[in-house]
Amino acid sequence: MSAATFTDTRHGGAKTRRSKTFWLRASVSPWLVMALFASACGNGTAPTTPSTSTPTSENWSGVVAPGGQSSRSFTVNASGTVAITLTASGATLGLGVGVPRVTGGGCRLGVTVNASAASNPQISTPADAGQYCVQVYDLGTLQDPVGFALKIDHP
Amino acid sequence: MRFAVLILILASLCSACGGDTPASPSSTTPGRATERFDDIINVRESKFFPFSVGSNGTTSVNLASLSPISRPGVIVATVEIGWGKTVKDDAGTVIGCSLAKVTQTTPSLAAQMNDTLPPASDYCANIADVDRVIGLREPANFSIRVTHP
Repeated sequence: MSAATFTDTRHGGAKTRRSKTFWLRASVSPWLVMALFASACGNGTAPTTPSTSTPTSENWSGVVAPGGQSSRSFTVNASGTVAITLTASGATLGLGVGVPRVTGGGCRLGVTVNASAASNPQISTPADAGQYCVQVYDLGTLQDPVGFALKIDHP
Repeated sequence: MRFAVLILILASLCSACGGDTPASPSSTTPGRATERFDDIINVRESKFFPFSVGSNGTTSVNLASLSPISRPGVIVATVEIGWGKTVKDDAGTVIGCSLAKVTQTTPSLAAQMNDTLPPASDYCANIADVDRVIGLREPANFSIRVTHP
């Protein structure tokens, strides 16, 4: 659009010449500009759909002492299925999932099983979005501390 | 004149665009709050907890845990949970919960009750041991979650 800048000069013909140049360019450039505008239209990014929660897998290992328990919290970002797999364990242990205690740590369990190590989930339960915890505990059978490993799959 | 027409065309094109602004994705979970009520319930006992609902939407009541007092694990029992409106005495002190809806249930990590409640500040959630056969046989820790707008 710099051609639209009129500069008055001492030469009488200059203004007329530049004016003609402007309108010559102007008679062409509108279509060019319109094409650019047209190409600019219609490319609006489609509204993104609300993101769905990506399935998450968390691994955790620890030790349970005789008469003891061990717990860990995790966050479920959307409603779905929570699956707990005790993948390694030196003994049959109590395995549960619930909600973290409001104070003092630990876990208030909602679902439990007696579990030995396996490759398939011992617990698979529907859950709303929120804070949860998994707990591994002695069933009253341990003579010595035992190690364990588990996997938590959740939305 | 032609310059004015050009400006007019460009202006109309500009106004034609601009409608492409992506709409914000509608949130599937508008602002919601979760309140926890943790306590001990004895055999044949009931307990209630006041809560408020700030706006229209679904209010969920979830008995998430029913567990022994002094050992790990869960208590296998069916109890009644529900919601209603608080009852106040003449001094305005909350003295009870007048239940509007109840259900008998076992603990779950997914809400057992989902209802649309109008905004109010005098709701209550309730838990009660009501069945001698399938109910509590010992005192229990419980955790109730109330999720509301």
